[in-house]
Amino acid sequence: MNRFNSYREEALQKWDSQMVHSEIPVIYLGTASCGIAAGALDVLGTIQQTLTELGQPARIVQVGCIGPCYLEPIMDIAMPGGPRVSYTNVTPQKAKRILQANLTEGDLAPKMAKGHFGDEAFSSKTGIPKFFDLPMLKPQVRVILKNCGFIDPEDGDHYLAQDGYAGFLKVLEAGPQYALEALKESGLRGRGGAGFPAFKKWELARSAAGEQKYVVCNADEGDPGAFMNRALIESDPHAVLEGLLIAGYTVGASQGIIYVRAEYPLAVKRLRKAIGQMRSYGLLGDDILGSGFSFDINIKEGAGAFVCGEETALIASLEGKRGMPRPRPPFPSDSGYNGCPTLINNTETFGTVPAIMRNGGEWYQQFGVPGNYGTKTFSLVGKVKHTGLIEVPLGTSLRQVVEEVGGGTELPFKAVQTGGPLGGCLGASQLDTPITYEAMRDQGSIMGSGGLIVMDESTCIVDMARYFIGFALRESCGNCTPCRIGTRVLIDRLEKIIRGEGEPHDLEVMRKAADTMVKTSLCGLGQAASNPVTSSLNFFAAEYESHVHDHYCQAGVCKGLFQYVILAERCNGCGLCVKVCPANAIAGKLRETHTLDANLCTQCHACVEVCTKQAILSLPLSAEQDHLLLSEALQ
Amino acid sequence: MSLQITIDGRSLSVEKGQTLLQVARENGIDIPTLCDFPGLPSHGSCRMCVVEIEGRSNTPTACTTLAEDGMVVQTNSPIVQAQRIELLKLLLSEHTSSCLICTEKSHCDECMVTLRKAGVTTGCRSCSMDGACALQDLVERFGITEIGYPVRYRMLPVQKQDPFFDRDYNLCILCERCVRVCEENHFSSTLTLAGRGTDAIVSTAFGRTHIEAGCSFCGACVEVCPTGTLSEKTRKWDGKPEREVSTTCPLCSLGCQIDLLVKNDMVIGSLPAHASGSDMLCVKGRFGITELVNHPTRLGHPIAVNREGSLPVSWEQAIEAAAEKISSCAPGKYGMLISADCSNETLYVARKFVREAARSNHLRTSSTALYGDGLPVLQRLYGLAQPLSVLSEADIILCLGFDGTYAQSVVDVGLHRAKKHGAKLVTLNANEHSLSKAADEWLRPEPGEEADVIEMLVENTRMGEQQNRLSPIASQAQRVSDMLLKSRQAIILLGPAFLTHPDNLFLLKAVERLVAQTAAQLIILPDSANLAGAFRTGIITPATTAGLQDLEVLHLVGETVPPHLPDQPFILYQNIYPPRRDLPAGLILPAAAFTEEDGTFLDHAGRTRSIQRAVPAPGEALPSWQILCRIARKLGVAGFDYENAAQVRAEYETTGFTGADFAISVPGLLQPGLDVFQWVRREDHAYMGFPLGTLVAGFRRLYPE
Ligand SMILES: Cc1cc2nc3c(=O)[nH]c(=O)nc-3n(C[C@H](O)[C@H](O)[C@H](O)COP(=O)(O)O)c2cc1C
Ligand code: SF4
Ligand code: SF4
Ligand code: FES
Repeated sequence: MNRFNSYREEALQKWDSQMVHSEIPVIYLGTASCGIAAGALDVLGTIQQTLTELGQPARIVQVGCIGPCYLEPIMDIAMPGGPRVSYTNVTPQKAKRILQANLTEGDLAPKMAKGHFGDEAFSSKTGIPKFFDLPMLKPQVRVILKNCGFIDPEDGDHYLAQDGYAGFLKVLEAGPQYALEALKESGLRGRGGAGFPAFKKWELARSAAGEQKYVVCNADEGDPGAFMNRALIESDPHAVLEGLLIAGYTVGASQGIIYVRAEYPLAVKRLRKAIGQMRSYGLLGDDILGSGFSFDINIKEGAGAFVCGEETALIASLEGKRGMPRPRPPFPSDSGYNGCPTLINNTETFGTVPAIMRNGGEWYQQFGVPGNYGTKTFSLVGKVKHTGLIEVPLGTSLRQVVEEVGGGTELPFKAVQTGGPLGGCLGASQLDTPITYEAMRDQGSIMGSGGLIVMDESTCIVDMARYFIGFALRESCGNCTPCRIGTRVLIDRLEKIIRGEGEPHDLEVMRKAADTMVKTSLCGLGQAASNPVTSSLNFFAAEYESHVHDHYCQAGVCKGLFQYVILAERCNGCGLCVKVCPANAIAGKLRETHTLDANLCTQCHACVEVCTKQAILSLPLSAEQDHLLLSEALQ
Repeated sequence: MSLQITIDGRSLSVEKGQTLLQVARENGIDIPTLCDFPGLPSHGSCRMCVVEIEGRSNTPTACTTLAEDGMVVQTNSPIVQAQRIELLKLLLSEHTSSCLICTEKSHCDECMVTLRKAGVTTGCRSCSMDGACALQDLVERFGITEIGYPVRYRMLPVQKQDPFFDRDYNLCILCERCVRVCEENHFSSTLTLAGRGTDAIVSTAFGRTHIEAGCSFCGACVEVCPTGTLSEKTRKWDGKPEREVSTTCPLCSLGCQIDLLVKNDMVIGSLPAHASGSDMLCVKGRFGITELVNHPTRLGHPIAVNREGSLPVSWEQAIEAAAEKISSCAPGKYGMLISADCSNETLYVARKFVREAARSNHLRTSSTALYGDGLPVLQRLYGLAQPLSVLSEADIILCLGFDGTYAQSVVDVGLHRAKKHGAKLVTLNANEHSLSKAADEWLRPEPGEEADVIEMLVENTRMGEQQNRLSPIASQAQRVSDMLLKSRQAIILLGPAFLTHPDNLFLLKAVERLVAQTAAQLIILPDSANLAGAFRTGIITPATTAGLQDLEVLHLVGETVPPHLPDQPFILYQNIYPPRRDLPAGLILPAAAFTEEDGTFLDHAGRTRSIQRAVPAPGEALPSWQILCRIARKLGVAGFDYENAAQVRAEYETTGFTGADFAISVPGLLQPGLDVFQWVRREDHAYMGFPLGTLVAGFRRLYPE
C-alpha cells in the first residue's frame, strides 16, 4: 500500500512538472486510430523534424481521441505558462508553420487555432474560442471520456495522476458491499446494448455459488461504424482495467478477461502495456496491495465475427468453440466461461465504474434522467457535418445530437439509424425522441452499443435497409431457423424492390418474416436484425410504396428507378457536370442550360455530386409526361 | 425436489432440471420438434417447439427452457401455432418442397413407378426419406398448403466422394443432430457447422472428405438426420422398411445387436438395435451387412465341377455325390476346414459330422493359423474374458494393439466414455490408431518390439518399485506400471492386432502374468465372430501331428479354397459366395448367410447371442448345418435328423466337451510343408473367408490390401 502511494506521489509530481507547469512547450498529438487514419503519424514526423530544425526543446505527448474525428489530425500546443491551444485538420505543412509561429515568433497563429483549454480571459485576449464551447462539444459532458485526449494512454503515471485507481482503493477500503451499493444508486445500466442494470448483474455474479469466477470485458464491438470502445481503450485503457479490477474484487473473481477484436491492434497493444503497468504498480497478481485479493487479467483476441459480441457466443469463443449463442438461462452469471459464474459487461460499462466508485452513486445521478442516469458515448457518423466520438447525458434528444452536436446535414436530414445495424431507422418526426433505453425500444429501435448513422436526402431507405439486413445475414451464426432464413427472405424482397420488381405483397411478406424473427429467434441478433426493415417500413412507408407502386426511387440510388433531369430553373451552365460525366450524356453550352440524355446516362451519380446548384434531380421515369410531378419536385 | 407447473391447463408435478419438452412428453403432450433428439443435448436451433409462458414477452423454446415452479405454459396457443407454421414455411423455402404442398401429392405415390436414377433428389417422392421425413410429418400436421415465401435452391453440389453415404445439403435444415451425435455420443469431431448466416452449412473442418476428416463411418449421423440430406448409398431408393428383425452382427466377436431392415424379403439395411441397448455399430455392422448378404454372386444352387467344366445339379444329386466321395475315401484322407464365422449349430454339427459321419480326426479352422502359436494361451485367457460393460468400473485401461478406426469403433466410444468418467487410457500400438490423441499415455514401440514393452510392464509391476529408466519408452512404461499398481481396477484390453501378432505366444504369456500381478480384468476382442464358440465346440483341435497334405477329400465350410493344393483332393466347397479360384474337381454347395438362418454365437465374453432368420436364402441355399446333416443321412449315419436349429442347440448345450477335445498342438501344424495351414492365413476384416474389401466397394477404401 505504501509502495503504491509513493507511485502515486511520483505520478502526481511528474504530471505537475511535465504537463501542468512544464518549462518547455508541450505538444499534444492525437494518435488514436482515428488520428492515425487522418495522417497523425506524418504530422508526428514533421513535428519531430521541425523541433530539431528549430533547435527548440519541447515535449511531445501522444494522447488519445478527444472526440471530433472530423477535425483530425489534432495537434495542440501549450506554451509554458499558457493554456493548451488546439489546431485541427493539421497537415505536415500546417504543423510546421504552427510550430514555427509558436516556438520562434511567440505567435499563437490564432487564425489556425480551433479552440483552447484556458479561461475566458484568454479567449478575449486572443479571439480563440474555448474548445469545449465549440458547437459540437458544448452539449456534451465528459465522464467516461474525461481523460481521453488529455493523458498519454501509454503512460500509466498519467492515469494515476488523474485519480487513477482511487476508485479501486475506495472499494478495497469500503468493501464489496459499498461497490454494489454505489452501483445500485448510480443506476448504471449495461452499455453493451440491452441496458440491464449493472448492479443486478454484479450482485448475481457475486452471490452465485462457485469457487472460481470470472469477469469478462466485452470489447468485441462488431457494429459497422461503431468505435466507442476502441477509442476508449486506445485513449484511456486504465479506466477500463480499473473497472475490471473493481468488478473482480466485488464479485470475487480471480481472473479477468478482455475479449477484444483482433482488428484493433492498437487497442490490444495499449491494453498489454497498461496491464504490464498495473502489474508493476502491484495492482495485479497475488495479494494485491496486501488486501488478500488476487487477480489477473488476460487478453483474448476475437476473430471478428459480429455475433461473438453476444455474451454466450463470446464465452463459447473464449472456450475455443465456434462463436455461437446458446439459449439462456443459464445466464453467464450462473454458468459462463468454463461453466463458472462469469460477469460480463461492456467496455464502456467497466470504463464508467471507477468514476462512480470515486465519486459515489449519487454523483452519477446528476447526469441523465431517472431510470436512465449517466452518460453514453456514441459514434456519430454519416452525413452530419461533425462526425466523431461523442458523450451525452442519457435523455438528450436525438435532435440535439444530430443538429447541435452533429451540426446538422448539408442536404436535408432524412433519417438516423440508431443502435447500430440491429437498431431502428428513425425519421425526422422521431427526432425529438429522448435517448433512453425505453424510448428507443418504443420506437422500434434499440440503444445498442452506440452507433448513430445519420442520413440525408441522398440516402434511399430501401437501399439502407438492404445494407443492414445484408450485414445481419452475413453475421448471423446461421444456427437458428428464423434468423438464418428470415434475413435471407428479407434481403430477397428488398433486392427485388430495388430492382423495381417489387409487388405490394412483398411488404407483407417482409413484415411476416420480421415478426417471426423477432418472436422466435434464439439470440439478440435474430430478434433485432429486422429492426431496420420494420422501423423503416413504419416511418418511411411512402418511400417503400413509391418503390413498389411507382418504381421510383426519389433519392436516386436504386438504378433504373428514376431518371436524372436537369432543372432549367437551377442550372447556371457552369459545365462541371459535363466534365465528370463518363458517358457523355450531358450536353450544353457554357452558361446556358444543360440537358441530360437519359438514354446515355449510366446513373453513376457523378454529376449530382459536382453540381453546386442541385439542379440535377432524380425524377420518376414517367416525369416528362407528368408535369405535375415535376413541379411538385420543384417545391 | 419437485416443482409444480401448469401445462395446457394441467397441473403437473415435475423434477427440478427437467425441460418443458421433457415434462410435456412424459405427460403425453405433443410439442412439435425438429432439432431435438432423444439422448442428445438440447440445442434450440429449429425453434419449432416454441411455447407461451405466462409473464414472458417472447416465446421460448420448450426444449431449452427448464421448468420453474409455478410456470404456466401454453403449448398450443394460436400464437405459437402461427409461429410454428411461419417457421416451417421458412424452412420449406430452402428445401425442395414443391411436393410437400402439391395438391396432387396423394396420387403421386402410386404413380411414381419410374426408375429412380437421379443422384439429386428433386422432389419428395424421389427422396430417400420419403415417408420418414420430419418435414413431411409437420406439413401434414399443420396442414400447410402454401409456402408464402419465395423458394431458394441452395445449389450445393451433392457430396458423393465418401463411401457408404451421400450428402445433399440442399435438403439440410441445420438441426445439427448429426453434428451433436458425432461430437457428444461418438467423441468425434468429424462434423461441424461451417460458414455464417445464409451460408452456414454442416461440413467437415476445411471441407475435407469424411475419410480425411477421421470419420469412422458409424452412420449415427445418417440415422438421426430427420431429412433426406444424409442417405445411405445402398438404401437410397428403397423407401421405408416393412419390418425389422433383431439379430447379431457376425462381423467380429463383439456380438453387437442389430436390427435388420427388411423389405420385399430383402435385407435393405442394418441399424443398432436400440431396444436391446445397442446404441451404435461400427462401419462393418452398419454399412457392410446389406451388401454382403445381397451380394450379386451369392450362391443359390449346387454345382458339380470337374475337368470338363461346371454343371448345375439338384440338391439330391449333389448330396449323393458328396456322400459317395466321403464313403469311398481312404481312412484319414478326409479333412474339414471350417470358419469360426459359423454359428455354434454349424460348428457343433460339423464336429459331429467329421467324427461320426466322415470318421476322421482332421477338423481345423483357419483361426488356428491366424492365432498361431498363441492359441493355447489365448484359450486359457478366454476363461477370464469379461464383457465390455466392465469398462465403466475401470480407473485405468490398458489397450494392447487396439485400433477402432474402422472396426469395433463401438469399443472406442466405450473407452472415451470411460475416460470421460475419469479412467486413464493407455494404449500400446506401434502405429497411429484411433486413440492416438485420446490416450493419456501412448506406448509406441517400433513395430515388432511390442513384446519388449509388455515385458517392461510385467517386470515393473512385479518389482513394484521405481527404477531409473534410460530410454523414454522405458520411463513411460515405468509411469504406466505405477498407474497400474496404484489403480483400483485396471482393465487390459486385447485388440485383434495383438491377438494375431507374430509374437503372440510370448505376448499373451506376458499378458497372463500382467493380469495376475495387477488383478486386472481382461477384455479380449478377436476379429473372428465365433472364436469362443470354436473353442467351446473343440473345433480348434484335434491334436494330431499327422499332416493333412495328402487328403482325398477336403471339405471347406465357410472357408475359401487354398491357393495351392498339392494333392488335388476332391473339394466339397460349402459357402455363401463362389470360390475365388477355379476348383479342379468338386462340388459347390450353396449355404445360407446369417440373415437366412437361426442360430447362436458366443461373443467375446462367452455369452450366447442369437441370430434370426430374417429373409429366405437365395435359390436353394441351405444353412450349413443342414447341408452336413443331409450328407450324413445319405451316408446312413444316425443322429443327424434335427428339424430345426433349436434341436441342434439343445444337443450342443447339453454336450459336455471333454478336456481332450480342447487339446491343441499347434506348433506341428505350423511347420512348413506339413499341412494346409501355412497357406491358409486368414485375413482381418473378412466374412466366410472373403476379405470384406473384395465384396463391398466401400471397404476397399477403408481396408487397403
Ligand atoms: C448480436 C449481438 C452482438 C453484440 N455485440 C456486443 C458488443 O460488440 N459489445 C458489447 O459489449 N455487447 C454486445 N452485445 C451485448 C452482449 O450480449 C451483452 O449483453 C453485453 O456485453 C453485456 O454488457 P453490459 O451489461 O455491460 O451491456 C451483443 C449482443 C448481441 C445480441
Ligand atoms: S438468432 Fe441468429 S445469430 Fe442468434 S443464434 Fe439464432 S442464428 Fe445465431
Ligand atoms: S444433415 Fe441432417 S441431421 Fe445434420 S443438420 Fe442437416 S438435417 Fe440435421
Ligand atoms: S426442438 Fe426445440 S428448438 Fe428445435
